[in-house]
Amino acid sequence: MPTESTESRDSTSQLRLVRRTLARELDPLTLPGDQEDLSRAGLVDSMTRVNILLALEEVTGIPGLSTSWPDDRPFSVRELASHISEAAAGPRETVRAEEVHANGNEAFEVSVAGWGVSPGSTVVTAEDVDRECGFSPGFLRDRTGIESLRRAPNDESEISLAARAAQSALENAQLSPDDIDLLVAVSTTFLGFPSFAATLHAHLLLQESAGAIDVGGACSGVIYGLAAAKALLPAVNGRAALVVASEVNSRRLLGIDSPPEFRALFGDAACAFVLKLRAAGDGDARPGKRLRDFVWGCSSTFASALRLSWPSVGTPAVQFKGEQLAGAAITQLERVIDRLTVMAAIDLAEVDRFALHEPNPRVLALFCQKAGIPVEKVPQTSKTWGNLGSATCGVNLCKALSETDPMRERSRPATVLAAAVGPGLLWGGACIG
Amino acid sequence: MAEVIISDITIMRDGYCVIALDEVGPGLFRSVRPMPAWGFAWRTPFPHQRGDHVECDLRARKDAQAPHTEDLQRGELNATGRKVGEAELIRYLCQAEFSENLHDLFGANPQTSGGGNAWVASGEATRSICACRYRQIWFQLFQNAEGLRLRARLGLFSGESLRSLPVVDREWQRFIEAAFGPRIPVDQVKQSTANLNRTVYPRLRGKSALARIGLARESAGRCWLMLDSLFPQPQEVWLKRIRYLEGMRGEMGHPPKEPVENAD
Repeated sequence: MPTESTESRDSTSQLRLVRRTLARELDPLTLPGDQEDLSRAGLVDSMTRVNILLALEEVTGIPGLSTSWPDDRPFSVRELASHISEAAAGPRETVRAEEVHANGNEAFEVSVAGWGVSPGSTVVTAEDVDRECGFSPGFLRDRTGIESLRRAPNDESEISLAARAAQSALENAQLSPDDIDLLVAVSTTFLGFPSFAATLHAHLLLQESAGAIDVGGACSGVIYGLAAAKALLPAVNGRAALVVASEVNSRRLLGIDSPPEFRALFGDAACAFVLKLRAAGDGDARPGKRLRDFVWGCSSTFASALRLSWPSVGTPAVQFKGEQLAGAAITQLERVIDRLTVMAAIDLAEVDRFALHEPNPRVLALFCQKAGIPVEKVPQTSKTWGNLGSATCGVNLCKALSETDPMRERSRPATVLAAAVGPGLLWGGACIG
Repeated sequence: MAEVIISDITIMRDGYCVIALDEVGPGLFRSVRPMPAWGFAWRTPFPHQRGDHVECDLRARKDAQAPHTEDLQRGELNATGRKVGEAELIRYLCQAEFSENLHDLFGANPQTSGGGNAWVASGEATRSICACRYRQIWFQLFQNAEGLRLRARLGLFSGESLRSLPVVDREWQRFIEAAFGPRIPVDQVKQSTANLNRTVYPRLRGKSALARIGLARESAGRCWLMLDSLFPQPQEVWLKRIRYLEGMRGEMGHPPKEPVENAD
């Protein structure tokens, strides 16, 4: 039975959620007070009204929210928030995914027990990249905010970077390769055969009985890898999993027809996470590191914003619409964060760190400004290492987990939200805490 | 007065917006938007059908602004009595504004709202109507204050998709009203949507699978995308199957014999 204070808290959260959604769907400067009827004020037409209701349905995950809006109800912030409360409390035809998820969590929990990163060893300055790509001096730094990149020299590869990150994560978790039951490997740039997962499995000398699977997703890959590992661990009766993302973009992008303004953004690195499964109630997990909620999806309206096509003859070519991609990424990251806060029943201000994919530092800064997220809560990587593909969000997640580790002693465990978008537009998010 | 072919009749508040094809050269058409003397929408009952030849004044409006560059001077529409069939109309539409990807529909990159509908910035779009072939389509019945409406998820051959387009095609709106009535009980919308998709999905493919996407008038700097015309157009015989499936809902015992289609 909800208490009065939890009801009041829910109501405040819903008001904020409605305001944030409206600010995205309308000109935020024109938003009136919470009581004002937006239709009567001429701020929304019938099509915009439907879109706002659908947007709220999406972010709250409450089916039928848009179709159950009464004809004569004032279309105001307060009424929309009340509508969400009523719909959330009312009878529903189907069980929501979060409820299934929550019930599943009663038996098992999967937590992050260790993490590690490994960048390419060579530091290349933005000025070096300007010269290499034929840009005018200062172009990369001014345009993107990137000051330097980390690149893998010839004696480093996706495998060697991944192995170094994995060793670091295993040490951090105080486990050995023998403890690993499952390897989930993510790499967009590894083109070898056997697969990246199989090659890394051999390199790490995992037990023969440990499974190894590859997961795609490009820049969203780490989120997908963590979700897959969380789901698979109990399915294979495993106790520990290793999730690794590794990219050597600099080398792979040289062999294809890619615009210099795209190629110039990327660095090389790997990140790794050790996940441990435990029965609920066991006390051995690191506090604040539980993999809680996941969201994911694909907005194929933006499928052509970034695309690598392989012609039957000739060189593979990258199609890159930077502005469109940046705009779509910012909007989608904001939606992912909103969806996660609803699923985790947490207010945005209560989130301790945000581990995000960074196309480049400028886009990240724009996102923080638009979403109202303080930059000190957002670890950053691309300024000095570049865009690391799937490893960007992962490296930032490692930083976020390290920064929140000292918060373990406080009454409320630290909460980290991770969110990433990649070509497709594939998107995903995770709540850890 | 010039002779044009009506290609799109779309729902606009209580009336209809009309777009027509003007043949500007052999095998080359352009879209024009004839408008009535009193505003944007033709009043109901609107007597014409898609494919009808009509006469109208082809002078462009002096105040026509991008993206609605197709707007004509306000005037009359006079039927000539001639008419083209659906296959021929589709062929003409492919010889008018046509795109294989989302950007080239209106010369601007669409953005999406949280609810999935797409819009383009009014200052960026260069036209307001364009056709494209679609690979997949999936419908969603949607009920709001105005009654039962149809939205569509549309997949293009470019690999891009539009997630929730309002279908404003007059014939499709009439079709769903004929199939389901003006409103459906809220708890039955999902099943009715499934019945609609089961019925029409296998029939919306092949050479005649063509969509005409239009832009709504600018609102707060945005022009929302709409599905103005969807080909093939709905057929009377499809109604039988939907009514059969709707009639099955909640019925006990053996189902009645399924109707046999012989029209397509």
